[in-house]
Amino acid sequence: MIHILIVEDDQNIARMIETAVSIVGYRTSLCGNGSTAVEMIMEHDYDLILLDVMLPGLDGFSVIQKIQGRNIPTIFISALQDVSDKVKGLRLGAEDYIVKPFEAVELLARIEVVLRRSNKGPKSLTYMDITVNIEEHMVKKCDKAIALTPKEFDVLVFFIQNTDIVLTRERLLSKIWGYTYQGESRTVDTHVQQVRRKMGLKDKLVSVPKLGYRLNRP
Amino acid sequence: MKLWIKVFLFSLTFMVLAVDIAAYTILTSDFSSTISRQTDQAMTQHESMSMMVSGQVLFERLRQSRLLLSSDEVAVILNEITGKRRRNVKDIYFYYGTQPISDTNSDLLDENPGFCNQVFNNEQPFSVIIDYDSKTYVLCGSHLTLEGNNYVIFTTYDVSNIYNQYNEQLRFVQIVSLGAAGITATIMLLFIYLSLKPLTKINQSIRQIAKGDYSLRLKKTGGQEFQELVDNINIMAQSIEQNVKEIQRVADGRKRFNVNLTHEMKTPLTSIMGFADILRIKRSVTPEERQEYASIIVEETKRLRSLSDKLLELTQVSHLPLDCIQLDADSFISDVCTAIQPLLAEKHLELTSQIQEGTVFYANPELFKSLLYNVIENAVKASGPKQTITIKCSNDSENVLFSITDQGIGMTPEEIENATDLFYTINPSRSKQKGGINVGIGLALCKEIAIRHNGTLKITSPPAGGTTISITLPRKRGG
Repeated sequence: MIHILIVEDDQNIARMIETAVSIVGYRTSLCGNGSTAVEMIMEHDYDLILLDVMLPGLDGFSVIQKIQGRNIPTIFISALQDVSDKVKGLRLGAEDYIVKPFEAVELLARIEVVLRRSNKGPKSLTYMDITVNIEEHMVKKCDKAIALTPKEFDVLVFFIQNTDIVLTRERLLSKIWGYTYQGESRTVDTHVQQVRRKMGLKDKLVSVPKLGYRLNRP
Repeated sequence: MKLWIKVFLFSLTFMVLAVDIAAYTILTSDFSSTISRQTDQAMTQHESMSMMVSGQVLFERLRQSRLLLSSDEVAVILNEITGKRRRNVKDIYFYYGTQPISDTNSDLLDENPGFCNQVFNNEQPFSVIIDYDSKTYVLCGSHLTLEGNNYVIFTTYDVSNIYNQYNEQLRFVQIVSLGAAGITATIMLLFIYLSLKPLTKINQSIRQIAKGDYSLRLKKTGGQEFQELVDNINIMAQSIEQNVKEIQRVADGRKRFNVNLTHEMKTPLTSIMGFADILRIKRSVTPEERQEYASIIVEETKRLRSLSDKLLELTQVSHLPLDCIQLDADSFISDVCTAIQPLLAEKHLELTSQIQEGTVFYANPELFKSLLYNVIENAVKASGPKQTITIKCSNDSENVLFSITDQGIGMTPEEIENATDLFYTINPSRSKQKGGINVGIGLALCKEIAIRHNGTLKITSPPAGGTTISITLPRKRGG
């Protein structure tokens, strides 16, 4: 099970991140102080660190410098949105830099990318009788290979990674197509319907009125 | 062209010209007196030659015991005389009327027909200086009556030596003046170089200051002018340094303000947005969870509201008209103390007040209450448990003085300087007090209020600890 350390001094934000992360089933630990965070990271093995920049004790930039030897992927979460701050954070070895405020799903998506990049994410996903091999771009249902277009494949993977979470059309657009464009949300609908039809997910991949789609847990 | 080159060239030219003109004038006047002496001498010689010729003719007539010699006989005598003297250069010529006596024909006279005509047409003798065959002569001419006939006699007098000497002297003066100019130029260049050397250094330093090294100060070198210049440059550098520091401080303050405002606004927003999104996208939310998320959203919204209220209050303080009424210090302060009592109780703090009797002052009650409340709130935050906060109020002929003193850890000079900046909080970790809104806006607001009442707000903190905030208001009704 993926174990994530959340270093954030504002209790409400920490609780929010914890809640969001636990939806997709990651285990979490909390810490509200920079220097305590360093001690915790030295003693335990975490798969990922979500690190606030402005912290009591020791700021986030100093924390990441002290734990460089541990080689744990780190995502900065900060209110500072200067490009120079982002560059500083990424130069110090962070995998990503998220500016507050952010949507819960965006955080989950970024976490997922970072975990996959550092080979900590699963190489294959299973959903009921569907098996997805991410590296080989192969989808099987009941051991029978099913042909999906690359975009349909991405849509399917994104849904399986976020079961029980409503994915809005905008989120799907920006995640799969890489842009947000209102007029194109029909593209999303078409692809989702294709995936639903090809994979036989009629009852599971439901549309949520006015929001988007959700893949229910089996 | 550089100034020193101009000065150098001008002085050099001037000196060389002056020396040359002086030498030339002396030489020329000396020379012209010599020449006039030589001319006189030439005339004398001419006279004696004329006498000699007359004597010779007379002698010949007496020898031949003749009454009068014919012009041909005279011509023979004259030719004899010229022939005798014709060793190197012909120095005597005779004309009969305007016709030269045979053998006396000469290029020298042919070259100066003007002079000849002048002599022919006038009675008195003349002289002229002429150049002939790379030599210089004084040529004299006069009429001479021999045996009743009119003759003209010309004589030459060699003055080449004088001219050669004069030319040599001129050349010598030129050489000497050139040499002197060379030596003077060298000395002047050396002098200029040495006395302008500090300027090079000063220029270097100025360039360095211009590049941004504002703390650089120049060393005093060179003459008085340079020392003055160095002093003035140092004064300039100092004021530049001060201004730059001040601008830097303002810029830093503004940046800090931006960072802090961003932080203060985005922190509640992050919780609100996150929990709202979770409520929106999560399939199943238990009633307990919904309660928790919604409570946090409400709490954080309140925090944002408080922030916007205080920001609004701050802009209003500096822009709205101020209505002042007379207030009694004793009852006013006791009102504030009552209002703040719950906050004191939390930390078991004691509040004592020493108020001079009968002190009254003019202020806007709402704003001034807010000021005192904020200052005491700050003192509470700085205090440890069971400490005492002291409020004093006194007046003199001009001012009413309020002071609030705590027994906390005190502040560093840097903290005091920045304490009245917006969003400045002493602890960089931004202490988060549950339930309390701690945006560092309080002291900035207090200072603004004091200034609006034509008063001042000052923070003092001895190294031993404890901080005193003094507010001074004028006793007269302020605007």
